[in-house]
Amino acid sequence: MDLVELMKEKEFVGQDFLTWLWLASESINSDGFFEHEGNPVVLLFDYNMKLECGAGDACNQLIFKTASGSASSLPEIKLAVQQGKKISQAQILISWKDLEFICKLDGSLLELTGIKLPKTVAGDDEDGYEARILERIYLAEQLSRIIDSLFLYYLKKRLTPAIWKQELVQFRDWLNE
Amino acid sequence: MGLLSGSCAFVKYSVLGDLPQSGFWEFVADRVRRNAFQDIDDNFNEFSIGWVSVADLLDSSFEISDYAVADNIVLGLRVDQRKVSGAILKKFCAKEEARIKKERGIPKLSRDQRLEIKENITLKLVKQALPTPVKYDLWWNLAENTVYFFSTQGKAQELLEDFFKRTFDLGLMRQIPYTVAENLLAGDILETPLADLYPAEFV
Repeated sequence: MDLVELMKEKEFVGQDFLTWLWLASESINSDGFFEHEGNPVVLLFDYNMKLECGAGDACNQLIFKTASGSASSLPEIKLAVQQGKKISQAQILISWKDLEFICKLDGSLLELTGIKLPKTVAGDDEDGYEARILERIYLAEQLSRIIDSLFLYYLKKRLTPAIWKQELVQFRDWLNE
Repeated sequence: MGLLSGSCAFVKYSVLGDLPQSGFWEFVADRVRRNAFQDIDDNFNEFSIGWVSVADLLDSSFEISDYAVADNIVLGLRVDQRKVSGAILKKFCAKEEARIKKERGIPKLSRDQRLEIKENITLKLVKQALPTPVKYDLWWNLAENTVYFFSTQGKAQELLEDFFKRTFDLGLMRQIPYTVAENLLAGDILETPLADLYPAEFV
């Protein structure tokens, strides 16, 4: 199977992860339900998100546009998920140690856009240039590693039926609240 | 939207193929130099692609900033292209068609004649157009043999995949959630194999 076919056939993998990530951060504990390199990761979803009824061309997109951080759309998003929709794109604020990242995560490709990395302190001179590059590289890599760690954490739950079943019970209880 | 910009975007690639066992940095220096960006401001070429410094798109000799930063390679992929907008092309073609019809005293031109006019006008206007530069940054993490490319545009990604291959004789494979999952789970034995995963039902 070539990459394009694989991308199409397994598009749900990223969407399911993103939907799980939102449900886990909202229903379990947003203040660090997960640790990366021994430090809690705090996730805060912006309610500007895109939901779809599933992968494929015929999917019915539902786009929420609310003021940043506003929780007024929460019941609507919960209802959409209850109707079987999945999150295909969301903006997330990720806090880890003393660093804060903002990014938009696309579910189907796990593409990161609109990334705001924490501010760097290096200057513009020659030494500053290399230091600045290294700082930016470090920060981009940390963001990528946090996403990968979250993804691995999800996969281990998803691929262990008993644990996944428990997880679903928690999500469904929260969605019905 | 590059590596040094306030706001950025990136996608990840796995590098396919073997790196030279010895003389790696000499190999990189040679390949980058041979594929450095060539200016087309002083000729009529329509398109040019090549490597420049991440810090400055005018620096194709890497005098201002090096591409080797610790165990990483950071490069700017500069693409210059002369483009003519559709509206301008349409206007000049219409003018030329009207001129020829008047000159020959004929009411209309054949399809072939109109195509020939369009070709000639395009060529003329492209030569007059100034090349538009774009720079896309990449960071090659040598420890993981992964490339972070700071653009999510499909066209830019195609250019990168071709030009990276042309420069280093190494392929790039876009990482997608499923292949990332395969790599992350490598060695882990779980109850359900990844290949058997099906869409989750959250409700």
